[in-house]
Amino acid sequence: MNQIPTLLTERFGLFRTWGSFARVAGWVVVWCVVIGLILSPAGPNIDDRDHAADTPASNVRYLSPTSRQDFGGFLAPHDTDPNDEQFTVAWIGGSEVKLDAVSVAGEVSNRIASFGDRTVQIDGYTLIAPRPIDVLRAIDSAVANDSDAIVISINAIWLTDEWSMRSWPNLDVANLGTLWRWPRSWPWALSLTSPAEVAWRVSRAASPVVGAQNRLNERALEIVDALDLTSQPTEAAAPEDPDPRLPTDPTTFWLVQEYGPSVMDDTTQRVAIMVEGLDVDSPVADSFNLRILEQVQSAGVPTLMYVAPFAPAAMADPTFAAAAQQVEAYWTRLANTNTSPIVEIEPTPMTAEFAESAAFNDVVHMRDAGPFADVIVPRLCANWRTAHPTWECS
Amino acid sequence: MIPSYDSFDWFSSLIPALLVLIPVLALVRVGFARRAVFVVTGLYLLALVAPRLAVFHLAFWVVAAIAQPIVAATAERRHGLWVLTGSLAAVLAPMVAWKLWPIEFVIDINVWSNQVFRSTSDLLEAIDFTAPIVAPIGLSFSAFRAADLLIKTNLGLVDRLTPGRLLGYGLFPPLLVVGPIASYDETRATLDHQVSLTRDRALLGAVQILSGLFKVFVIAYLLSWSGDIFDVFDANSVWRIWASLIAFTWFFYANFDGYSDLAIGAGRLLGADLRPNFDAPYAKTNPADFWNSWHISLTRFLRTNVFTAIVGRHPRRQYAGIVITMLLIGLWHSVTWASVLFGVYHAIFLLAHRAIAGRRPPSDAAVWTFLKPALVFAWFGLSLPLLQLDLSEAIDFYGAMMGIRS
Repeated sequence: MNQIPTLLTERFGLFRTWGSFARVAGWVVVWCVVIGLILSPAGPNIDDRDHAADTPASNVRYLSPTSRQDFGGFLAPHDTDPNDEQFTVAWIGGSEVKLDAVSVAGEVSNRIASFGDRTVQIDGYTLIAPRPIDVLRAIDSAVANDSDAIVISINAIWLTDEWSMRSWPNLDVANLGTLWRWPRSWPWALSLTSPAEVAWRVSRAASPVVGAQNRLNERALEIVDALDLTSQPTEAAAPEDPDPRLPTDPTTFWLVQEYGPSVMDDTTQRVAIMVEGLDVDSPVADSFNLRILEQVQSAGVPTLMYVAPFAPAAMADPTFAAAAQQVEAYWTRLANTNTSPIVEIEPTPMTAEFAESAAFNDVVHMRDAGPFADVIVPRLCANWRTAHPTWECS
Repeated sequence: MIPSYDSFDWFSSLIPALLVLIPVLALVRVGFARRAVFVVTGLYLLALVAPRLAVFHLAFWVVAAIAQPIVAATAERRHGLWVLTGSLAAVLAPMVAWKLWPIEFVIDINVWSNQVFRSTSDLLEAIDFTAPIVAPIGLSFSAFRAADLLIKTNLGLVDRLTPGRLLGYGLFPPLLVVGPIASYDETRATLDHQVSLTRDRALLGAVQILSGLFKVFVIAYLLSWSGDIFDVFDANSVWRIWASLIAFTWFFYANFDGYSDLAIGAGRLLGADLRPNFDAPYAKTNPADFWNSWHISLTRFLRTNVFTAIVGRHPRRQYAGIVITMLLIGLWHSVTWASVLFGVYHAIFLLAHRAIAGRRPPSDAAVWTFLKPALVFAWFGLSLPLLQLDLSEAIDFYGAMMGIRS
């Protein structure tokens, strides 16, 4: 190592002075930018993302990443110019809104063709298990994309207690931009945003090559796969039984530490515990949900926030019903602080309104989103009319 | 399954943080303030992994900070050796527990460290709650650094340290995750006073970081598939197993040496002259030279504190010293019978080399110039399955290499 400065100085005449050092560094940056302009693969767009098609088919555009390798965040739809002929609705939520082919947003889009004289276009900002901060960022993106209305599905499991986890660390690059407006959220911004994320964000903005990081990551993986000499067995080996005492995802880990490994045996009980949370006065819920409410109030567009419905079978369980009541009480308290006439919070899970025709796979995931769409469509139209009283859905 | 951590995450935060740290350190001339900068930065970067990890490491180094002055004060007294032994037990116990009972240890450190937040701050508790479950990242390196410091203190090579100095050394950011096992004297200058970032220092640091990035990002990454062979050797032909093991031998070196370069380069930019951890080990021509150039900080630690302590003024004990030292190197990786066998395997070759080298001078025939490094590479590569598999799987692996399927 000690020969390097001598070598570079004698062979290349570099680094004799600090000015030389700065000049070399400057040229490195310039060439990185130039190479980036020449070689850059395109950044992600919504057509690249591997969403399962809705069944029945719909025209919903899904703008969220589907992979934790995708750093593109919530993308703008192709037609980013304000379109006077469309009424764009941003539908924000988790797997309870869109999971595989089942989509509440898709069902709704097939029930509302237009609002007033505008075609209704629904944009899905949906992630599996979104964190509260992801919901905040989705609201930011929806506003930036000139959405005319916002719908937020409140998944009680992730948004009203402490269980929210770092499921989408690839989205952390934008935390500072999302949270800087609220000084009380700065501890969260500091804890969730590392210097690496800041550096990636800056370099992504400066270089198209870095900007297309997810594409490059995919290509790098393809190269590694091509080099791979090992043959993988055709039959997947049985996965090693994980020790039930040490689940490595934080949600399950804390559940097991608090309630023992048997908590994983009964899904309804487990979800009831998660819905209830460990601590009623959860600072996670309060710090983020207040920001979410503040954000939609300042967005200036009609917004409906609804607690995602639970399966009737789960609601019949006394433990679960008690947890659901706590959720309702929490969101009722929050709704009482709402001062915006165009923001509506529905704190009561609407399960009872479609209980007879409801078809759920589990506690929150529907097998058929149609019955719920029938229930929510009139509420949506009513919410939208708070901003456009003379318009009707059709 | 024990949670894993990608060491690159650490350096991908540390390297951009240098852009802030270097100007700050240029302004901070007082030793106390410099140490505070290192401690705060180390804890901050640990907290980004998970706040409870910062609590764990802080607690570990507080124990060392309590023990070190006691060791210093009792070094020349009759019971000094007992104090040293107790202190070493205190700093090595977490590592031993982690190696012996990994699952229980991971659970306990996560729960215990989170309890610290639960009893102090709702906000910190909630922030910590959302962080991933962590293994005690960097514990093996910290344990040996602390042990090295205590032994040197007992020998009078290091004076009694203030808590700030000790924490500054313990939480020196480049050393926290993947070593090297740098001794206190390698960081002393920058902990005590301002170290100018000269042109050569900046250049060396930057080049070493770039070298590390190349080894990790290019060489190791492109060979990262090779580790799969330990899971799927049953489904692979003999030649694929051999080819994958050769690739893995390069991966193993490039990955570890690359991270060592990142740590040493970052340390240099922060004013610490950390000694090299690798010196072209695959170019060496015999086992002794290899182990003098592979993970040098570990072998130096064990040579100084174990081998020399055993041999002392009794050359006949050198063979026992080699065996025990190599066993400890194996056990440092994991406490398994396969690791014991790793130590025995290398001890046998070191003993054989010592015996042969003492009787006849090395051949200088041209053919050996190329053949010897290749043999050393093969000799070391063949031992790597013992660090990746448990003993019965390793035996199956070696059988599969020879076409014998269980």
